[in-house]
Amino acid sequence: MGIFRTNKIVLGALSACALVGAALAQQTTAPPAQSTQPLKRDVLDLGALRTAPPQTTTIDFENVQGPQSGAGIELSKQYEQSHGVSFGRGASVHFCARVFDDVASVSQSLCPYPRAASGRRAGVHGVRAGGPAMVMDFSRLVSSVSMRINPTGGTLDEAFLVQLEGFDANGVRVVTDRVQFNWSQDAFSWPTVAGLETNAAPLSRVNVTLRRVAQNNQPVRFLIDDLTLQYAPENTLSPVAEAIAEQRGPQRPIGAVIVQSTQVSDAQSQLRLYSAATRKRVSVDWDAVDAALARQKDLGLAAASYRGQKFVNAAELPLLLPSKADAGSIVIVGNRDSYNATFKTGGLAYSLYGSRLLTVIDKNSGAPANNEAITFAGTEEALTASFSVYGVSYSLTRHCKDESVTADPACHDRDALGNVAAQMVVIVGEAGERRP
Amino acid sequence: MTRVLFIILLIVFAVLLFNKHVGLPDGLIPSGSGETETPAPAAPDDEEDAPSLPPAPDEEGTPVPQPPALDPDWHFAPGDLLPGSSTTHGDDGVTDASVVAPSMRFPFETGPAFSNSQIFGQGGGGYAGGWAGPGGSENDPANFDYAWRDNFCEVRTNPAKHANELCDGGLGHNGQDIRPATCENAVHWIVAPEDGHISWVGSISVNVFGAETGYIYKNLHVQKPLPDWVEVGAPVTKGQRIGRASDLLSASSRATTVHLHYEIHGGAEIDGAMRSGPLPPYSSLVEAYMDLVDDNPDQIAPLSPPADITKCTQPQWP
Repeated sequence: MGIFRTNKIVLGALSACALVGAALAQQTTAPPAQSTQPLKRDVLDLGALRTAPPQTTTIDFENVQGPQSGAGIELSKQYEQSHGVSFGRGASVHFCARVFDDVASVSQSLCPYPRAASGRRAGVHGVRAGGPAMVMDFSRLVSSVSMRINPTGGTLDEAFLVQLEGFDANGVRVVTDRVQFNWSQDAFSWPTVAGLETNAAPLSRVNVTLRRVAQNNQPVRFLIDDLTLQYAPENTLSPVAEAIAEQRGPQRPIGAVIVQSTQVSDAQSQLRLYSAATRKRVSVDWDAVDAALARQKDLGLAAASYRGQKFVNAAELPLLLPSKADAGSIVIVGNRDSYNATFKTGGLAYSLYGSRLLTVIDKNSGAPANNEAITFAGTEEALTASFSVYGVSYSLTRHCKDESVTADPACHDRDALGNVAAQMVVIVGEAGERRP
Repeated sequence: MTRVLFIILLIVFAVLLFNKHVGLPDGLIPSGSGETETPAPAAPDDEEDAPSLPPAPDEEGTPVPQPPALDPDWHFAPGDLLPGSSTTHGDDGVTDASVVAPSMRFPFETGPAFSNSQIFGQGGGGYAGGWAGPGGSENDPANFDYAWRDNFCEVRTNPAKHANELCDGGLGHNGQDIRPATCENAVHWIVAPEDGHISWVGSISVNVFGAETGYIYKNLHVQKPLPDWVEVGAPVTKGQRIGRASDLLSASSRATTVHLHYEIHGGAEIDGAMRSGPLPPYSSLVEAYMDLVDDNPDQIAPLSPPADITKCTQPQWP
């Protein structure tokens, strides 16, 4: 993040944006399929990482329609549909020209310069009408905002202070930056560019304030033009999915003890023909869980609302849940060592299952060795992906429509699984908080 | 008194003679198989050597009827699929015979029940691109008789979609098919295998999360309507009815036989790697079935005929 001045730094800012995009692309671009990196390929097969290239858009404030606001046009939701941004109280669009043949525009211009950054108009924030800050709300989250910015007047080399604050989807302020610049009244064009960018949480709101340093940092009216937005990638991986994507093969228990419950032990003693399978209770990598929780907080990611809090609180393992699901559709059941969450999203039903109990199975000698981090099981009515993270074994199941692979030919395609896997988050209940 | 002692001595003598000349057979060929495979052991060694006692006389000397018992050859060993029925046309399923769910209740409320192949059994439809099936009728008594067969890892209609890393070729059936006592549709109750909660209710399935084991028990081809209380999150007790077996292949297709497709899904360690998915259920079903019929010996014998076949329909194989 940063606030930039001069055209040269504008280029720097754009490059920084490009680098952000490049970094994301690097995270999410498929490497060549190699037998030593099967998981990366599988995640890609899941459709999780088909990240659209970062998209930017620019608002030049020309041709905007709306009710009059003094000599300007009130600016509120005109750009919501087209650009995903709306403006709070005090914003308007004004003429910004002194050399045009339109006498009225010249007389009404608020610009201290001969022309707008582009075209004939600029956005304005009037402090008295809207408070100290221009508020921009983003219905489509952004990762970067930049604009040319100017006071509507001042003295040569007078000091001004720009402050930008970014807020995540939960309304939490996640980034703040401020920088002082000396205004150059005689510049030919707008010399100052302010920008804010983040690699952390996508931004749902940005507040912009311009203060006059010589007057005790009093907020003043200001102009912006050529507002440029970079939308946050929508298919980036959650920290949970990132942790899975980094794996290069199947996970092995990081520690385990052999367990049998009293009830099962009783039953075991009554078995007649065959012996009971060995079950192990594995250790959880709580440090990795903590890191994921912190990262999720930074990103403003949280689980969608669910039912079954008592099971969450009883669970001595981290629970993976979707961050997006149909309202009220997540239902959790479980016990101390295992849980299952069913939910719906995108018109499909899923189940997420996790367990720190492992039943030891010797597979058929004819079964192939499987060194992949994600394995699949196809059934008559569902497709299940199995993976492990944080020392725990999980599976994600997509239930076929009508519970039939015949009725739902796409059921065994892995894209739908991948899209859900990409936005899984981890939560910990009361028992888990003790890091057992 | 002397007479009584004499009778006792006669009984002891008879027992000794029985031990020496009768004993338990071994290596019996299952009825109707026409093959010479060695069946699964019917009991551990110490029990296998135990003699079957002749009926004990009551005070009047009348033999007391002994309860029926499972035939020693009532099931094939875990992993012993029908010849040629695996995805690679072999007969090996998962031969690890360990019981993954020792305390599990048998999923049908009553017996008899028959774990066996649907597509390779009489009337079976075979599988697309492969074997066309044996012909005959689904209602053939052979389908409703012992010996049981494991069909975890059996080939499926679209093998490529049935990934199962435990099986030959990494492909195969992820559960065990079980026929109820008869081919009648929507008659035979499926019950919860342990205490827990309903974890999923689909068009034709009801899954149970086991509170003790943490397993998901998947029951497929379940006929609706279900009991009113069955919904995701509802508590369930071991043995409680959760639905009835049917021939539904989907909500709108009666394209399979009347049977229960049963899976046990849980965390697993396979070749040292952590996994989560379907576990081989056959051994657990064998043990659970023995518990069921021990308590209900009248539910052992196959019905003869297995049903009024006029009540049964042939599946419309796709």
